[in-house]
Amino acid sequence: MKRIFLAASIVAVSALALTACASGGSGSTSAGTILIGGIAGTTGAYGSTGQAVVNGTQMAIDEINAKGGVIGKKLKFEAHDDGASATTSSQLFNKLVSEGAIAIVGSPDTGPTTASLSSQKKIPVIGAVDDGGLTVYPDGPDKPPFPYAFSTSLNTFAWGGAVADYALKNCKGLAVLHDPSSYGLGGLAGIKLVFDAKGKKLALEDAITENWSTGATVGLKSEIDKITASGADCVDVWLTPQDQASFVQEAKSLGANFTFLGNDETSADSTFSDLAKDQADGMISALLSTEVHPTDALKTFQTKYKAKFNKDSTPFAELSYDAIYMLKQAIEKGKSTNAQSLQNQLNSITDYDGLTGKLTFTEQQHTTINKDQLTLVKFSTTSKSWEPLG
Amino acid sequence: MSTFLARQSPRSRRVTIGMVVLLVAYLASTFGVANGSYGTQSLVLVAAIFAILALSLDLVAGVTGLYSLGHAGLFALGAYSTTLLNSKFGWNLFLLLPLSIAGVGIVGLVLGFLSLRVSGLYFAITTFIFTLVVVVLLSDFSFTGGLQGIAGPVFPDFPPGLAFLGSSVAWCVGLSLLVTIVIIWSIRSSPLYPVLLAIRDAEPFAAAAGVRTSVMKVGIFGLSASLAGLAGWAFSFLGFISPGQFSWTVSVNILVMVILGGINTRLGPIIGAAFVSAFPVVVSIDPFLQEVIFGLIFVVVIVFFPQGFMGLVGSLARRIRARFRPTAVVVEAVEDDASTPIAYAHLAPQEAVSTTRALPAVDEVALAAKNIVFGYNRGVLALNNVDMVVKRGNIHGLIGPNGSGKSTLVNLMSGRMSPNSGTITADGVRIERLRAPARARRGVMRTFQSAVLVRELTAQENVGIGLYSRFPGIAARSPIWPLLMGARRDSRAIAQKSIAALTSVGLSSGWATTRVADVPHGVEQLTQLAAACIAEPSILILDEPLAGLSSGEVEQVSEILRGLKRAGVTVIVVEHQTRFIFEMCDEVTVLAAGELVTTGTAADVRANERVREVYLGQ
Amino acid sequence: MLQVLLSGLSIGAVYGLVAMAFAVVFYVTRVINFATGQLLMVAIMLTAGLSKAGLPDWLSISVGLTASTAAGVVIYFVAVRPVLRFDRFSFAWLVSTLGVAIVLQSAAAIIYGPTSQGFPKLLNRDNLVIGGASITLQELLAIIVAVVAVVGFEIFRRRTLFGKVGMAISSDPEMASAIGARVTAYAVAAFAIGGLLAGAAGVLIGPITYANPYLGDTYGITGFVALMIGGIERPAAAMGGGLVLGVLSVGANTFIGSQASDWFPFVVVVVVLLLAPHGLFASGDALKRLASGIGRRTATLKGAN
Repeated sequence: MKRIFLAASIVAVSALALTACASGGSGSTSAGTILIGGIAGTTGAYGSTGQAVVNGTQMAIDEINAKGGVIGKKLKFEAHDDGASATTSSQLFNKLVSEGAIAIVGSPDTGPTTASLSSQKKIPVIGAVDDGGLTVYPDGPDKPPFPYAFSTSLNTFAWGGAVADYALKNCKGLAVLHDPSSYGLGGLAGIKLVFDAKGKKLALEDAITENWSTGATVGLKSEIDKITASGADCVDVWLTPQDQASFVQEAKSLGANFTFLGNDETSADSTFSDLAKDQADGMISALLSTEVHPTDALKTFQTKYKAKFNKDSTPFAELSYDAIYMLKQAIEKGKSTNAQSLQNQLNSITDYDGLTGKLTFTEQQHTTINKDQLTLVKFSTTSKSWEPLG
Repeated sequence: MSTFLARQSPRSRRVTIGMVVLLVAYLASTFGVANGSYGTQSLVLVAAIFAILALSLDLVAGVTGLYSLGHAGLFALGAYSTTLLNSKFGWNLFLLLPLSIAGVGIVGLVLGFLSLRVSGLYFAITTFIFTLVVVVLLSDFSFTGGLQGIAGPVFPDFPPGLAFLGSSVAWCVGLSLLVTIVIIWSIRSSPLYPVLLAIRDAEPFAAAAGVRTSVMKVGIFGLSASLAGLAGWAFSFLGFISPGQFSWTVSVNILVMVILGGINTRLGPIIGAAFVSAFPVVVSIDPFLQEVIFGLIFVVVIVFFPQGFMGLVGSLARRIRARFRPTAVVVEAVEDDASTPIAYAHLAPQEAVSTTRALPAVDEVALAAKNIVFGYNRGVLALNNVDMVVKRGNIHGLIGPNGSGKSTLVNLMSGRMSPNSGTITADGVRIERLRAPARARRGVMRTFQSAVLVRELTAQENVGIGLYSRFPGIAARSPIWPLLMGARRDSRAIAQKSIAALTSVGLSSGWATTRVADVPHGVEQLTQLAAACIAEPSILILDEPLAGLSSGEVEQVSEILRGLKRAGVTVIVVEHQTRFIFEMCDEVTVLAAGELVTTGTAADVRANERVREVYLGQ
Repeated sequence: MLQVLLSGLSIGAVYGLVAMAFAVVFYVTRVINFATGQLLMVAIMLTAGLSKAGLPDWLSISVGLTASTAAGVVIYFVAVRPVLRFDRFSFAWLVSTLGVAIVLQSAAAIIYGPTSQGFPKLLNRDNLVIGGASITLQELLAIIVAVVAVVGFEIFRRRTLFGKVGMAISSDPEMASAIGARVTAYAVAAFAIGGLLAGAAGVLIGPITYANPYLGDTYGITGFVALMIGGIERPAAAMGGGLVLGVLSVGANTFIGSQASDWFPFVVVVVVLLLAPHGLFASGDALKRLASGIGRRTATLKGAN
């Protein structure tokens, strides 16, 4: 009996508390600030990527605020860790939207969730929406993208295309070993787009489920046997950097003489080269051309970033920084933070001069980074760096 | 309303008021959430869905003792079937509600049937693998959206006239939670609840009371599964589903919610679900630190309050109550030491069993076991070609040295095991292939050598379990028990009969409301006897009813046996105390080393040479 | 075929060691330590960290193993003992050990950062070719360690007094404590052995997976699955479960398709559990078990009607 009263009072109190929250939650935009939400996995094995996204965004926002903000208002950034959990990510998305966020940055881990929610809730998601590709174009590269997902992120289609170009020129046969998420499938789609255009076929394509993020994927040895049997001399390992390093190590210890090709994450930070050490030598990947020939703006950013966070800047920080400036431009042009207006303005940004290159959105193009902005590179252990090819 | 209230007893009036308060609070909070921000909604709705899952898991884990790790898989089936059937085939969402409840329920029944052949941790293992397989299937097929998942269906908004109610999804989830709470709390207040606890803690006792325990377990698991299906149906409206949201770690998380909140409590699972699902979203500090704190809370709460948040609340409540009423003793502890004499009521032997069966002719056979052969392992026979014929209305003793096969024979007669060959008839019907519950329903009841009762229930509640087979449809009615007039009447009847049965075995009313964990051994034994008598058996088998009893209590049992005999009940007693046997019994069967030595009247057997040799040691 | 067997056994040995770490603890205390995977991680991270700091490999490994052993004992005192003292039959240890797991891995992520780091190569450089199949010495070592662990544990269990009393405790702790066995000492020993086995698994797999604070999750899960396959009653059976899981995964990958390793082992497990509900290596010889399994099945079918 007492329990029932206890239950009743608990429910009543929480009801009051919640309605109080509900009424007090929204409306932060009216107070002279513009809220930009951030969702990124800052913990977990990919935490460093999420941290780069948050840091890069924060730098852009601090700079903009120091120069007086946007349309007379200050920007405010509120970022949360989604722990790479889709449920948490959607809870956070809703939380941020109800707090009045005009756009959400991210998520590099749960991109499919944020991209899908953006079109349901009609709120733009920008920046590192996973690795572009199938996350933004869920039905394939030739179908329309999510209307509210604007990715400035590294784009699996672009890297797939660049790597495929290399393979067409230099390989007798290309095998692709990829993970079955939108990340691996996006890379495969990018590669196939180029191969199909030339009427060529892959020697082998195989999906392998990764023990996501910790790189503890096993059974790579039997994949190596299959690839050898397929007659391929080049293999693109569209897995996480940890697994790429494991794969290269296993293949070399088995004496397999492949040319190893990478993906957007291979050269995005030093994870792969640190783990693979000597065996990283000769790995083919692609870098943003701006990373190979950094502009002054990029050099300044990288110095400032290093000074502020005591870490080297990565493309994920730079592309998030770009995303905020593109958003700023969209707000200023439309003189509004209304979602519809933002969508229209973002769709009409052409050749924005960002850290990651000349960036363009159109109705059809919702990823800024494409094949033409990439430079093929090869890792050299003597210089311990990625060197441009040819 | 006021006249309705006036007609009720003070207790049930308070319950009614409580329920009304609860309902108003529920409506107010749902209204608040439905008109709240997206953030509030998302937070509360996810918590509510996990509350449904936690409540349904508590029903199988906390109440019935089956630690399922299959709930994430069942949850996934509900969510994915709703999403896919709606988006690919355009099925109506409200048609999908009963379909996903029934469909997932059936999957649960099959899963339960297959995995309940094993209990304890092995049940956890098979259900765990079920979740694994479901998630792998969802990830590896393209029509499910693969690893990246699929957008859920859009729940229709309220028509304009009802728009003031706010978000329709919030009401939908809120209603699902309410239905779940009603079902679970109803079961907890129904006579099925003690029966389920008995299945968890004292399965042989439940089976002997006529409960078909394996069917019941499968059924409860099926119910729990269908609630998980309901949760899945509702969850699909929250936006986006992907396989990672249903992995086995989610199963473990639901179990964590139950245990952290307080296992086998009304509110614990709800509190646990709210805490675990909301903590990562609400608390916004350095993410690594946040994780550390999250883990620390798990450890600290469980280490200091092994019963979870409800244990914490309970201890706080006791402390507050003690402060306000410093003189009142918190629990009127029943002294367990032998110095306090057990309070027995004045014995009313005539009432011991109020059987309505007509007194039969003395020579008629009540129970006959013929040519019984039984061996536990190949080779060694525990019973070899044993006969035992029990006449109706007799008290029939069964004696023999240790290892003579008495207990085996009792187990064969009561249905815990079946003989390798031979026949057993009760009232002329062959029963040797029936299981214990079926035999109990035919009027063959038994007690156990050492009482196995549900320790956390009172003596009265334990005795009520014995009535399970006498009140039809307890299980079927339990999910809406308090809402049924007839059921409430049955509850009262069960309580009255239980108290009467306890009185009839000589236990005063003080014992009726004491938890069995706190009563001395003798009371426990007598409670067990009452539980067997209450169902008005025609044949009652007592396995060493005197074990551990004081001489006063032995006299008590003798008196009860005489009462039973007067009421026409056939009694079979296995006992070591030969003085008691020869005094009480009309006939006695003697076993030695798995073989029949003799059967005859007490006097004949006492005089038998071989009996003296093998048993009396003279 | 031989390659499948060798690769399967070598990775299965690691799964098996983790499963054994679960099982030894369960055997004595009836507790499943959900932080077992994190003990593996503790050994990996410490070994990697110390060797990066310039310590010789053998010293880093010893410190890593000592730490995982000690952490096992700490888990017993912090998260398990208080719960069991309250109620020996409660499942509350599930929450407290899981809490420890979260704390350990987040703490490691704070200390070392979330990104993978290098791990000493150890014996992973050297390759051995047997009948056309190749295996690295590290993988061979894993198989050897697994065999030593099983044989050593069984000898310890059957031939030493401590082990025999341990058996008694596992079957009836109340009785054992009544005859004067120090149950706590055995529980501490079990958690220590569990920590050591998990740590050993970590050192064996580290050169292949590198060092990551979240590895505990990955191997905790696979070790747990291996435990389920082998059966929970005997540590040696858990090792068997690990080996079976390893061979089945690699075999499925080779003969069916790369993603078959996700589901094939579990299909096998389901069939096994239907036939022999107490795990593959529970007791008795295989044929008898199969026969009795089928017998029991039909009996249950009958009984349920």
